[in-house]
Amino acid sequence: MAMTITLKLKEAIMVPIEADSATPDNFAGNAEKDIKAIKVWHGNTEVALDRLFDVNVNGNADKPADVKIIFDGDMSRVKHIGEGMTDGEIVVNGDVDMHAGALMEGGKITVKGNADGWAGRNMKGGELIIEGNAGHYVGSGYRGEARGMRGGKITVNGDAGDYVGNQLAEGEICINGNAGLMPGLDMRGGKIIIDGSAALPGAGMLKGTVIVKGDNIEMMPTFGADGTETVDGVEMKKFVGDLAVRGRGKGTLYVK
Amino acid sequence: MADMIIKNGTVYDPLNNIPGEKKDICIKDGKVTDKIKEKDATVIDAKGKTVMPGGVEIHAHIAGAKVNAGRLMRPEDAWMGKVPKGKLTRAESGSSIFNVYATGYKYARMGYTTLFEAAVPPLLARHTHEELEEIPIADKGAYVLMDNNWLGMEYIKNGEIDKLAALSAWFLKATKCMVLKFVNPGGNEAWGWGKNLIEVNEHTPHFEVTPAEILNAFAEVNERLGLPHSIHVHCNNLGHPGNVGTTIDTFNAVKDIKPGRSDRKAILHATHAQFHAYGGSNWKDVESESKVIVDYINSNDHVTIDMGQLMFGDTTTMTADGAMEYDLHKLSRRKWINCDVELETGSGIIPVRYSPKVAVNTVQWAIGLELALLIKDKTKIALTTDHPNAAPFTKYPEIIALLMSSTMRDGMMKGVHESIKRTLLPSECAGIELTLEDIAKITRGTQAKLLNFVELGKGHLAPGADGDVAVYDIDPDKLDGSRNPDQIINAFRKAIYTIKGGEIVVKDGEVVATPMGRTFIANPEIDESLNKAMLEDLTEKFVHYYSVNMANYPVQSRYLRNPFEIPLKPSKEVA
Repeated sequence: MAMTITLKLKEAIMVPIEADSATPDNFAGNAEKDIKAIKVWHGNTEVALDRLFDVNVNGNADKPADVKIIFDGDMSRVKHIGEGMTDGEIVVNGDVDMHAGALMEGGKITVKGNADGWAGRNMKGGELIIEGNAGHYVGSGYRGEARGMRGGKITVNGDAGDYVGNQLAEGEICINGNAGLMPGLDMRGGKIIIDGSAALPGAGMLKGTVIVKGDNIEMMPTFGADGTETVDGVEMKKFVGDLAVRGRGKGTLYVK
Repeated sequence: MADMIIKNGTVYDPLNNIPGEKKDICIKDGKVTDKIKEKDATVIDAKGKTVMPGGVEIHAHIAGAKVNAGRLMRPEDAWMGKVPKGKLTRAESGSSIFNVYATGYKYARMGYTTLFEAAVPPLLARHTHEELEEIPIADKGAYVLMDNNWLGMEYIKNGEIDKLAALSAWFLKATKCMVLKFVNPGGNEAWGWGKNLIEVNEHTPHFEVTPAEILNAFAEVNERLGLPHSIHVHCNNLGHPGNVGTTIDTFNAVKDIKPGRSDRKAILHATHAQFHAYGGSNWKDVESESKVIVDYINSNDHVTIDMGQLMFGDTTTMTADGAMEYDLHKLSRRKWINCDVELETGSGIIPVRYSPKVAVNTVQWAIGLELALLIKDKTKIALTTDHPNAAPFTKYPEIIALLMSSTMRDGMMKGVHESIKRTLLPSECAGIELTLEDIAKITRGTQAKLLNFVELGKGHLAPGADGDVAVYDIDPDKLDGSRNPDQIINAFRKAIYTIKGGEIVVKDGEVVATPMGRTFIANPEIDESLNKAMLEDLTEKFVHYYSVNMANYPVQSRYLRNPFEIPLKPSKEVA
């Protein structure tokens, strides 16, 4: 059994939609009319899904794993896509607004366009792929939290904004382009791999690994040199830190 | 407002010796009365339900600068506890530090109708009142911090008790508070010098007075002014292993003071006693010394306490005891605020997570319960969590269930650290279960008695009392609390009815009306020439040291919409 649901916006919107209820978990086991009636927030009002989207349901499925949701078109004003999903697949053929894949525990989200801030925030498992650029706080914790992402994998094919993997605890974040300020800020585990450049990587890190492969790196002054090591076939300089944190940051930072 | 009759309920009104009687409660014009005409009245059928006076909170941090600083520091705490606005209610936020609306609603849902904010730094009293004014439903009051007041300490050093009385009166009026509160007396000043006071006979830097001298002097002042409550004290050396000696020394420091009022025996209320009852010498061998406190309270009348019960989970600690918060920060390394309040006190804030796997947390959890279970006279101990320090006040229902059900305690003890063996909970407390009458005491009667608010109509249901009533879904005839702790928790979490001043404010656990309560204030009278002499000294302090002008300092009357001046009973002419 498999079910494919295609969601297409009826008209371009200014006021954002919060689509955290449009997940494989909520769609699985439901008939077409029930899916259409699922409520989403549009600004400050709660409306049925089919008021905002053309909903096309193909097939049926009992478990979230068998559900595939396609958001067709520009979703740059649709927030919280795939938030908290545990299984199944979401594909977005366009841009997405903030919090895509936030709190997700399993399954796979592919964003073919760009993502706004907080993509994969507090993620616990599963896979999030952003084929375009991502905004700030990719795979980070939310405001004030001590721990951010705890598992899963995020891949950004383009560039990412500031604070990639803020408070990262577990899991992996790959940025194939450049990252902004302070990737891995306050991280305490997990791995961040940046193919391009980055500024002040690993600031405040306790544990975990940050690898910055690009040429243009601004370093924190609070890391201690620890020789060289071969990473993915390339010889890289190894640093330990952040030594400013309790004098005992044990994170590892590799730079070219 | 319509008259009201609450019929057929089982009434627990321990201050009037009603230990669970089938009885009707009539309310007319917001006050309890003997009889009313039933046909014109709102009738509430409380058959098979428990009826108690409205709950009274004696010690919680619910309003003011440090509460707000905690909110700012912990955005994650705000969104973890969000509730959208309802038809009548405003949006609630917070899981340990609630916004003002949530504070009012959550207390009301538990049947509480009177709240006291436990620590107001005088300089920041305006902020406290701005928040108290926005807490809906409950009547409120606040305690002013006098623990490390520079001029106060100078007067004590010079033996000028008269002027100290005038100073205390001035601060009570300027801050619109009604109780003198002391946090780590002398120690906060020492903290300004990077030190702390561990023993009650240590001297604070520069001022050269000891915690014992500070408390003794202010206890005398408190009785002279005839304030309703005794001095309210957070003892020195909070939260450190082996601190019980300091606590007992503190109790003894005021033993020679005689009560100024005939309606109160207590001279000192030691708040959150759980934090002050530790034996051992370090974090690993810390043990319960609650027995020492229990024996002292059982054999002395001049000290009363509240529990400061710790519950496992995430919360935020906030106190004027800045040095203590720094110690916690050194342990956990979590984000932390430290603040110095000019010539008055200090403060600190840090989030904590209490875990049953941690030795010290387990001991702490046990001690609060031991105090409540073992102290014989339940009008000497009040239920608190020192909200939000040891737990948010929303944990009260669980604490009540733990006190009423030894089965629940036994169950929880299986999942805690083996340090539980260093407490009395598995041994001396085994099998002890409080009754609903005891619960009515430690959640409202005791508080009203200790604060001397019985005459003012709080904590009881005799004719003339305020029409503050809570109806809980417990049938005392059928209750087997030991086997059904969940029933107790659910009942106390959501009152069927909370009635405030004769108006139904909560029905079936939902807020249905949000009237604004009163704010209690005290205005002690002071001889004019004495006051003038004190003001000369105080003016000098303002001119030289304060960052604000003295004329701008007192909280203006317009800050309080519903002030209510409580009557005082000064013991002798202060001259």
